[in-house]
Amino acid sequence: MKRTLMDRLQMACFWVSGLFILLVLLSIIGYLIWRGGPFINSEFIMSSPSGFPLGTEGGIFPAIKGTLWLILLALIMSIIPGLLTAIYLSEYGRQGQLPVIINLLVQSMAGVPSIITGLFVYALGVVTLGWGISLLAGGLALAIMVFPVIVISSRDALLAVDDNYRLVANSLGVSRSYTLFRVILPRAAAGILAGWLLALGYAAGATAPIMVTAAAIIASSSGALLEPVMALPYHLYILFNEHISMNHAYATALVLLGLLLFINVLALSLQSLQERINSH
Amino acid sequence: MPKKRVIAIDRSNKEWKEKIISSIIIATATVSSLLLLAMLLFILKESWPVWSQIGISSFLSGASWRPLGSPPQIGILSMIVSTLWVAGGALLIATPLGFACAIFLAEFAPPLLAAVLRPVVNILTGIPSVVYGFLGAAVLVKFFEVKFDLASGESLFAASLILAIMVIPFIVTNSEAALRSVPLEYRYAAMALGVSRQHLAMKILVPLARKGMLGALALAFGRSMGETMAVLMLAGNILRLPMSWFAKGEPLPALIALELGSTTPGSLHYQALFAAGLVLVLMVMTVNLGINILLYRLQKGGHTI
Amino acid sequence: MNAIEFIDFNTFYGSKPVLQNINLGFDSNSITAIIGPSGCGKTTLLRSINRTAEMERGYKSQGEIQVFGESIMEVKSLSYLRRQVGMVYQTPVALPLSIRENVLFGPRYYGVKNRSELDTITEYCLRQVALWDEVKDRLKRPASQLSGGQKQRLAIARALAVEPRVLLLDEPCSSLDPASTALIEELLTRLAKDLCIIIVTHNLFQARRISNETAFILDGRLIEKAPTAILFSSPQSSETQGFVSGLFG
Repeated sequence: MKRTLMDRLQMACFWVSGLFILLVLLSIIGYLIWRGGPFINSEFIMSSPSGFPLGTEGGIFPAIKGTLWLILLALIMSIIPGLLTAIYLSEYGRQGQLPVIINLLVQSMAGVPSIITGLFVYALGVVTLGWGISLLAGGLALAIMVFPVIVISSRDALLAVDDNYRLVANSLGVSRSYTLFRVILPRAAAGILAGWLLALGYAAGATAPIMVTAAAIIASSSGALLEPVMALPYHLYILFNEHISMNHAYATALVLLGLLLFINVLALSLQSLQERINSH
Repeated sequence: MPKKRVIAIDRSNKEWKEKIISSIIIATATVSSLLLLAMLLFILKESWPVWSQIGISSFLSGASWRPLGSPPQIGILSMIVSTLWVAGGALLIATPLGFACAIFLAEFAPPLLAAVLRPVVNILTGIPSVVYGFLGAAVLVKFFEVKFDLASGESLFAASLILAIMVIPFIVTNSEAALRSVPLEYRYAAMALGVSRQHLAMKILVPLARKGMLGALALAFGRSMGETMAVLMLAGNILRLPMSWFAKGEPLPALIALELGSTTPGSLHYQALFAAGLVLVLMVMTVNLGINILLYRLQKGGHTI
Repeated sequence: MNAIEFIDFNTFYGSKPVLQNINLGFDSNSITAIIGPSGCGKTTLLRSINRTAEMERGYKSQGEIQVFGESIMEVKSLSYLRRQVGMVYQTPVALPLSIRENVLFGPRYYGVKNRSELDTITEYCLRQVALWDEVKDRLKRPASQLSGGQKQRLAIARALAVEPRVLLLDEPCSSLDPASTALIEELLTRLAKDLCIIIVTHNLFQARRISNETAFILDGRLIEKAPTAILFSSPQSSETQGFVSGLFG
């Protein structure tokens, strides 16, 4: 009898912790909608911050623009090296020590705190190369941050492609790159794309690296590479931390969350599409 | 239907092209992975005067941070302690919840609920730390202030609590993967013996998956140590040696984020922040590497999972 | 001259020997079956010829294999070797392309661009494997829709499309039903007019039905090779006798 009581208690713990996760997400979304929702309107989305202190009125348009510039730049700078490294790991580097080392380095890179990436780019780009606090420096910091994410997701998508295709193609004497372009890449495309989207989302929400390299309290975010930009996560931080406007902070957080939910749900559905392709 | 040979034999052109493509790929992979070492070396270079003039031990054990005083004092002991305290505390809270949720997802959750929970966990991973930090500061800290009548509710504990919520999804995803990778034969064998599912999960699957579950914890610990925004907004940012979980402190990432912009490049203050950064990244890498070595040992000890 | 010649050939996985001291020749325009218990090294022997065995971790080889008098280690390129030596595997694999593009996968790489030539190759190869009539109306459809037997014939057509002189088959019928097996055996007999065909099989009846010669491998050694009828009726070695009469397997 005692045994069953313990068992039931244990089972209850499992259920509670499972439902807890659900509750966390629902309450985050619900609370942000409740507090921030009423302040989101076309003016908030489409106009610049105004009022005194700056941000008490007006909107967040330059912050949205700045975030889009930053993640676009980060993706442009990271997809080519990321994809090529993944291709090396899945298609070319199947033997020897080099792929083991590269895998280890990429894995360690994924563990480097984002503030350290910011610190590095601050010293290299902002100070040494004289870019100053700028879109370019922020893009570079985010690119370095998402590089391992792109390598790992693309590598895994490529490795999930049926090895028999490689075997068959190989025995016809065709080159690896021919097989890659005609069979492997098209086959893994959805998974690779999903990885890019995850990287985009990761970059869009990152605050620490752009805080020290790119972000300004107010900027036009025109897309000029050597100008500072506004960014949603940093704007949120400033609105809250400088006690400018709680209402606008909630609304900004909601916009940021909405953007990320959109990107992540897209990525998740691409991932499940890829799983269906693989099991076919 | 007769057929003549139509395909030319000489493909030396293609071989050439393939050589170029593969060298580009190998070169890119090598160079971009070496970026990590470049980062470490660059940070080491920027912080070099601190190590050579002040020395490792006094930098690490000094409890006082007055980089602009005269004479300047730069010791990061209180930040190191804050970092470890916040991250350790987060793990303390997150581990039981995370493991229980992973076991629930892998073994007991009704399929429909599991199909909902898995994407939920993924989406939680995607919520940025600044949003967690903001909600923690706006809701949790306010709650502490009202409930316990504090002047300000920020503390290492508040930071730990929010960090815990941030890393739970990581623990869940990685431990569930570990539980699922236990070979099916073990399940079948146990079911054939008529063991209950709960017994199967707790006494057979969890021990077999412990390598992956430990790895998940190490990842979560590393992530908590390096997390910036949440601790910046919640830990209180006081440069004093924290004497309890409920004291305020300033972990290393917050220190760097707050002070980097106001330093003069080349000054001792600037160099000291790079030294602090190097210490932080080495701490995180030691945890990750250490757990890998430990797991490798475990594996060698005869357990293959 | 033999199409393929093994000379004092040995292979290892790590330090473990797999094939030992193989001396063996294969005629062109004939079918040779390789038989032996599982794990005896049949597949390794086959894969050594087109050098796909060396893709496995820890594979090493000693000695020599010649394809039409050229050592496989000294050929101009792997691509050149593998064009001469086609291979079909145990699992039928359709590349995730259309039926037509499966056949043209090799030719397109080797530079055939002319549309009518591509059409000719497609039809010729599919006719050779008796698949043309079944698929001629749906050449642009994904090859994954074909049945297992059709996929295996498509795999043979794909291999033929780069005009090999040798065709290696690794238990090509082991996952197929008897009707598909019969179709493949029939077409192999036809193809043997122009090709050197080597087939690894665990089906002794199949070896007897289609092969001109049979080689028996045991524990990585060549025990005996003889015309099929002779090997099955009056084998030289007692081990062959035991294997073909079903005493072990």
